Amino acid sequence: MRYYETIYIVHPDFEDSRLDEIMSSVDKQIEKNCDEIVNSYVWGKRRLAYDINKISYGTYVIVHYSAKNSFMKELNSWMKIQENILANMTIRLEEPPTQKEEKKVDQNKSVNIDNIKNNEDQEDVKGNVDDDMKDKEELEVKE
Amino acid sequence: MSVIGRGNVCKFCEDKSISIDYKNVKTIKKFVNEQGKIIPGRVTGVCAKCQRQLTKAIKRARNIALMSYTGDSISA
Repeated sequence: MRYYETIYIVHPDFEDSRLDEIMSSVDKQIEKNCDEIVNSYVWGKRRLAYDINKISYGTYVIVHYSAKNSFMKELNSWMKIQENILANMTIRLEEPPTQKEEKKVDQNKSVNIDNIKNNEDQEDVKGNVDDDMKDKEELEVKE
Repeated sequence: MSVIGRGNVCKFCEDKSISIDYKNVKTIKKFVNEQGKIIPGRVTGVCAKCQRQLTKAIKRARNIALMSYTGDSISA
């Protein structure tokens, strides 16, 4: 058993309950074959560096889990079929992931989405705001 | 680009708190040029070990649309 990190991009129109639905369906799919799911959280909504299926925004979701190597092919092919998942990538982690505190994640999630809503008119500023948000996150973690 | 410049010590070795991770876009963005090409370690002063990790991180970030393949000026 090894630890893996899967990151996938959900269509930006999906928010709140509909996003949770997609997340739980992915978690279920992973749960079938994995040992344990350590983390499953929304990383944030950001502008994509290039358009995927003519869509330029996306919600990034990250899942940490431990599973067998043979499961990766299966998960990847399943992800490709999903219409609402624009892209996905799985990487192997050298060290076991640390558990993320749920409260902080929820706060960041709501703040992130609010920020994007406010900044939709000022698209140029948006990239910077996202980066700033990330910095704040890192600072919080350090503290 | 204040970060880039050949120094005596590799930037990542000097400050161990900087993680070379594909999610840390703000950091790894400084090591590609305007066209989105990875700048060689001999130019930036990054040591061989860190450059290998950096290359991997940049390629992963490109794959998941966190960084552009072609550089911001072209894709935007």
